[in-house]
Amino acid sequence: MFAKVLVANRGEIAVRINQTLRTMGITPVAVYSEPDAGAPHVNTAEQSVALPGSTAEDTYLNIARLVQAARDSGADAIHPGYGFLSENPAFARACQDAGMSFIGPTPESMAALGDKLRSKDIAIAAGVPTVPSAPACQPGDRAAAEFAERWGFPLMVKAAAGGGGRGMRLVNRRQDLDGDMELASREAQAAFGDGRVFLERYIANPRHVEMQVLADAHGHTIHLGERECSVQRRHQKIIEETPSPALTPELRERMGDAAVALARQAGYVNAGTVEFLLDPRSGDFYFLEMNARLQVEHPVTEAVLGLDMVEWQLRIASGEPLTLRQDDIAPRGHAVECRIYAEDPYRDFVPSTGTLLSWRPSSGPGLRLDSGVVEGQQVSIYYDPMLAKLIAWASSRELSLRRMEVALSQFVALGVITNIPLLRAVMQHAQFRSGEYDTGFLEWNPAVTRPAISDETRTMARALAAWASEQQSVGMDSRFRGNDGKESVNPWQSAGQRRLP
Amino acid sequence: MTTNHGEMREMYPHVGEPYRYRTDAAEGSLTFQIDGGVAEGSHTAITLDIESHESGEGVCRDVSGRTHHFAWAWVGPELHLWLDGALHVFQRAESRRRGRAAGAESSEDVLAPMPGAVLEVLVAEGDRVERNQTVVLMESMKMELVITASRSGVVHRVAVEAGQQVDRGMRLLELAPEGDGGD
Repeated sequence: MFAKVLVANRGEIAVRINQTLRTMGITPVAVYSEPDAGAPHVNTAEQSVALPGSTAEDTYLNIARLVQAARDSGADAIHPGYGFLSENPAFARACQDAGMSFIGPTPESMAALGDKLRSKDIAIAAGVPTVPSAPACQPGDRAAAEFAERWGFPLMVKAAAGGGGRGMRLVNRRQDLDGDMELASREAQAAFGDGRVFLERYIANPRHVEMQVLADAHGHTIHLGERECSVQRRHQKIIEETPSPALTPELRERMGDAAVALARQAGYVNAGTVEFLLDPRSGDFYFLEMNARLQVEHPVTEAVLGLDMVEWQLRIASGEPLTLRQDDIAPRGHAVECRIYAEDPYRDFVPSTGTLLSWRPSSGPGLRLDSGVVEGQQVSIYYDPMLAKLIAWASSRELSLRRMEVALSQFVALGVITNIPLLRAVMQHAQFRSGEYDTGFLEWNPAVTRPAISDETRTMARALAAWASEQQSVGMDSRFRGNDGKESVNPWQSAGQRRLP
Repeated sequence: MTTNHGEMREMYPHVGEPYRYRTDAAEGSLTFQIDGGVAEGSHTAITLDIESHESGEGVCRDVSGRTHHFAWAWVGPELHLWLDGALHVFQRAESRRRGRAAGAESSEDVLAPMPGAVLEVLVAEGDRVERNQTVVLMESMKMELVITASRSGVVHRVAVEAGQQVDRGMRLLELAPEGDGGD
């Protein structure tokens, strides 16, 4: 096993990885940009290395600096977390070249899976269903026209190197096809340095269901069940749950087998996630992509299986065999995760920055918080606006959703605007509760993205605001001290009124 | 019975028209009269028992006895109020007109708690005052407001004079720092 591991990431995921490293007696080494000095991911590590600069490009995306930091600190392995360089084969290779283990798959399988067209070929070779598509094509190509002819509109234009919804467009009309391909290609070129695009049949209102896999370096691969990730905004997940309300045991087994076959075909080692689009009406599912890293939503799997995914990542990367058998995987109860973002759910999810003046997470039975922030911290413009993830577990879906709803209603965050009220509204929503929802959930339910404050609550808020304002205007250090003046830091106060004649 | 007046405005999640309030405090309960707001021209009264309040957090009970949790923090001129799971942002209506002038005062200043006129300044610079001694009388909306010292000390400066109109948050007096010129 490793003695010292550098975590090439920030925020909640770096904090969470540090936690497992410490548990296993491994020394965690943090890296941090200038705005992140003193951040929780630095304070929870045992050692840290400063990365000069503020932007992601200068710091958490800077391969040469990260490898140097690992070398200087004497780390024998690097954990990339998710995002940043976690799916960059050049980074994995640079770690290996520097004589350190990269905690993830090989650069070769990562490169193959990171390319949407190549990964599709892998899926087809493994006998996994894929969405019908036309290979890499240029605007005006005959292949593009023929594909559109065969499948009709709407259809999708996707970037071969795509991810996170970038370089992806829905084309509704034939006359828009060339223009949209052009735009997607330009967007992909800017985002990924690779302008190749392809066309894909559009699956209307699918569910997004993914299978977690674990594979060791000795040829043993299993799946850890599914995660339902259909509540999304701008193609990004905000709520995930397991088990999926849409899966029968039979469908779960078929999807699990498909995920394992695909991982084997790709020569995949370590933790990875095979994403599928599921047509809930027909029960057909299609391979979407494989994420060659730890997922943001891995805690729901941990909650129902009672295991630590990062621990298995470390064991596998250090060459240990995966001792879990497929039959050992027996989920218990139900888990749901909500991603808490510093963003305004009522104004098109625009990110919010500022100082977290109050941050008082709820706690209780069955709750887990993976947080990258503390009270008093600056939420800056430089990085992803996700502050934390709240995970609720209970013996049934009904109970875990209620547990989550109560926890969200008690979660105090002041100073920046967060999406907590939106998450709570989804937990309360009849359609979400029924389990019959798809990736169009927020689109079909726009009321969820509008404030729903009763007149009664609004009146109470106005009254309490008036009260809080009075506390400040008599100079009591923004705190209520009562009208007897005791403990007041201000020497003057209002002592009351009497009516004038 | 303590009565206060003021004018505030909601900024989030709804941007509302300014509303006026009057609070009457008696026996642990606060009654709020709110004019304008939910429906234009409406008048709402609400009574709350604010039961605990420390480090920016509190619990209140409405007349039916139901418990509500709240927390608050000032973000510059904005009041961030968390109530039962949702964020509300308010501004004092005056602070919108006057900008951020209120940020200049030190903790040693006495501020006008509401707009009005100074009726009488009962102390002069250099005077020794005792805790709870009445130092300024103000008039606002046909009400007299009595301002007292909450600690003993020496008046360093008198910033207003009788008859002067003051806005909310305006400095009335300054008290010399603790220990300065004291016994």
